[in-house]
Amino acid sequence: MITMTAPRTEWIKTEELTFDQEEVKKVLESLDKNQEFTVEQLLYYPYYFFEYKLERRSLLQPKGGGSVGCAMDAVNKVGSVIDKSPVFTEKEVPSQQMIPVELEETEAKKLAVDFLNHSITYRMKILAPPQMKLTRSEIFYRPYWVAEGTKAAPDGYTLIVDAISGKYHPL
Amino acid sequence: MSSDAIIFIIYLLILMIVGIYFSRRASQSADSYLLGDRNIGPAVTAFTMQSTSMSGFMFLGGPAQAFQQGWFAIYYAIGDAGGGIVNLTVLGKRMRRLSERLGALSPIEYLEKRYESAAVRIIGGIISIVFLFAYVFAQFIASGKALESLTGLPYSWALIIGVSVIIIYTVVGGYLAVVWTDFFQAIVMLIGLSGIVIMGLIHVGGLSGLNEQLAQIDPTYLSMWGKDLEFYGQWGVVLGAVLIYSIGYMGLPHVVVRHMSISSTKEVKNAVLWTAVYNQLFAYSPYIVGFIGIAMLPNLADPEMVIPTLAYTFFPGIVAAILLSAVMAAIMSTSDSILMQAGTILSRDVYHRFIDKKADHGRIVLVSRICILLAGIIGVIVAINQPPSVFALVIFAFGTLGNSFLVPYVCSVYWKNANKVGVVSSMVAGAVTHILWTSFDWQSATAIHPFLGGLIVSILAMIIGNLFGTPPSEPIQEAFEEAKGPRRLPKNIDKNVARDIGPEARSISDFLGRTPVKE
Repeated sequence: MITMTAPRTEWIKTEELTFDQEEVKKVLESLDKNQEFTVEQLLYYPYYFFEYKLERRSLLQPKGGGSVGCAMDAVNKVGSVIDKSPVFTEKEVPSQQMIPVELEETEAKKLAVDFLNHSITYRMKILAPPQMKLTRSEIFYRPYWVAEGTKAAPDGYTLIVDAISGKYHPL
Repeated sequence: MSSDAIIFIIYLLILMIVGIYFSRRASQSADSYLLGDRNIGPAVTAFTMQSTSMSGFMFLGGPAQAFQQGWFAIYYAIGDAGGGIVNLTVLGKRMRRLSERLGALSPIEYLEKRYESAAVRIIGGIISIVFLFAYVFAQFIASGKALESLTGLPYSWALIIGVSVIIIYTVVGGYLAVVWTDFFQAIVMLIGLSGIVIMGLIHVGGLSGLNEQLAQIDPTYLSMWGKDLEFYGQWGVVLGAVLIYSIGYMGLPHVVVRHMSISSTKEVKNAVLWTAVYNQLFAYSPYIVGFIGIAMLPNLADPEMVIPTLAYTFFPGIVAAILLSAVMAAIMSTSDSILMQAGTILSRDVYHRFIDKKADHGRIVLVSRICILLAGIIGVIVAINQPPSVFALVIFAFGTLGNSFLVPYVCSVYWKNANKVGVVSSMVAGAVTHILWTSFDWQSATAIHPFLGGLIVSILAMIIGNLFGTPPSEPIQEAFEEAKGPRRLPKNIDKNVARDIGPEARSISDFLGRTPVKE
C-alpha cells in the first residue's frame, strides 16, 4: 500500500510577486527568440531585514536623521542597502522550496551594522558615523523563479529570475 | 579678487544650493544618499561617472600630452576608447562566466575567490592605493592649475587653496555629492569641451587644416613615432602606450554598494552601451584640443594650460570662467571619491586587518580621515616642490594597475593551475617593476615602455612563483573548466544579466544540485 504524506510547509514572510510565471516566460522568450522556457519552480531565498534609525550627530547630517534598511543574505553573508521600508506578507510555502538559512541572527546583525557603517561613511562623506538604532528586525524570503530553457545542452540554459525586480542570473 | 574668482565662488554656492535642494526634496533619510543614482537611468549614470572621473585628465592632462607629443599621443586615446571592448572580448566572456560561478561582486573579490587567498585581496588593495594616490595627486595639481587661471594667484597658493577646498569638501561635502550636481557639471564640461573642439577646428580649417599647420611647424608632430621621432622603431613603447589604458581599467578598485530594490525594474538598463558611446565620443577630444593648441598657441609655456587658454580665447570671459569653475568643481568631486576610497582601503583592509583588529567603526573612520588628511599634506608638498605633469601621473597610475592585474586576470581563466603564490609574485613584481622603470627612466636605456617592461617581469614572476604553490582546489578547477566551455547564453540574455545576484544564483545552484524541487 502506498501512503501519501503532505509536504511539510512553513509560514514565512515574503513579498508579493511582481512577475508571474507567464510574464517571466514572455520576457525571456522575447529576449531569446530561439528558446522556450518552462517556469515552474519558485524558490524562496532567505534574508535578514534590519532597519535602523539614524541619529543626527552634527548639522551636516540630514535633518531628522532618517532611517536606513539593510538586507543581509542569510546564506552568503552579503549585505545590500534597501531603498524603502518593505511590506511583507505572510505565506505558507513547502519547506522544500526554501533555501536553508546558514547565518545566525546575531552574526547577521553584526555584519549588517558593519556593512551599513561602511556604506554610509563611504557614500555620505561624513566626518563621524551616525548612531544607528535598530527599529526593525526580521527574516524574510525573496521569491526567485527558476526558468529552464527547453533546448538540450549546449543550447539550453537555466536562469534564476528575481520575482520582484525581474533581475536574472544564469545558474 | 578678480571677477572670475567671484564667478567660481558663486558657481560653488549654486552647486551647494542645488545639492541641498535635491537632497532635502528627495528624502530626509540616508538612503537617498546611498541610492541616489537609482532612478536616474543608465545614460545619465554613465555620462556622469565617465566625465567626473576623468575631469582633471580630460581638461589638463590629455591636451598637454597631445601638445607635447603630437599624434603619437593618440595611441593612448585608442587604448582608452577601446579599453572596454578589449576587456569584453579578450577576457570578458570567460571572466564573466567564472565570476558568475564564483559569485564575486567586484574585480578584486573575483581574484580573491579564484585564487583562494585573502592575501591576494590585501595586496591588490595596497597596489590600488598607489594608483589612487597617484591619481588624486594628479587631480590636486590640476586643481591648482585650474584655480591659478581662474584667480590669477601664484600656482603654489592656488594649489594650497585648491587642495584645502578638496579636503574640506571630502570630509563635510556630503550634500554636494548628489548625482544631479555631478550631472549638471558633466553637462557644462562636455558642452564646454565640445565648444572648444568645434571652435578650434573652425579656426584651424578642420582636421586637414590642422594637420597642414602641424606639418608646417614640425612634420614629426604627425609621425606615429612621436615628436622628433623620439620613439622611432620602438614598438615596445608603442605597444605599451596602446595597452596601458585598455588594460589598466581592469584593476580599478571598485567599491561596490550592493542594493536590493523593493519595486521592480522592468526597463532594460544598458549603461555599458552608453559608456561605450561616451568613450568613443569623448576619448579623442582632449587630444584634438592639444593639437589645436600646437597650432594656435605656439608660445604657451605650460602645456597643461591649453584648455584654460583656449577657453578664454574662444569664449567671453564669463563663459570661460563658468567652464573652468565646472572643471574645478568636477576635480573636487573626483578627488573626494578617490580619497574616500583610498582612506577606506587603508583603514579597513590595512589598519583594521593588521594593526588593530578590535577597532570599532568610529576609530576606523578616524583613521580613514587621518589618512585623507596626510594624503592631502603629502600631495601638496609633492605638487609644490616637484610637480610632475598631470598626464605623467595618470599614466604612471594606470601602468601600475595594469602591470599588477593583467597577468593575474588572464591566468585566472587561461591557466588552470595558476595558484596564489604565482599570482602574488606576479602582482608585486609587476607593480614594483613599473614603479622602478618609471622612476629611473629605464625606458631611455632599453627602448621599452615601462608598461611593457612591467608586463614581461610580471609574466616571469607568475611562471616562477607558480612552481612554489599548490594547485587550486577541486571546486575552483571545476569552475575553471566550466567557464572555458562554449558560450551558454545568447547575446541578448547575456548583456542583461544582473551580476549583483551572483551569490544568490550560486547558492540556488548548489541547492538545486542537492535537492531538485518541482512545485
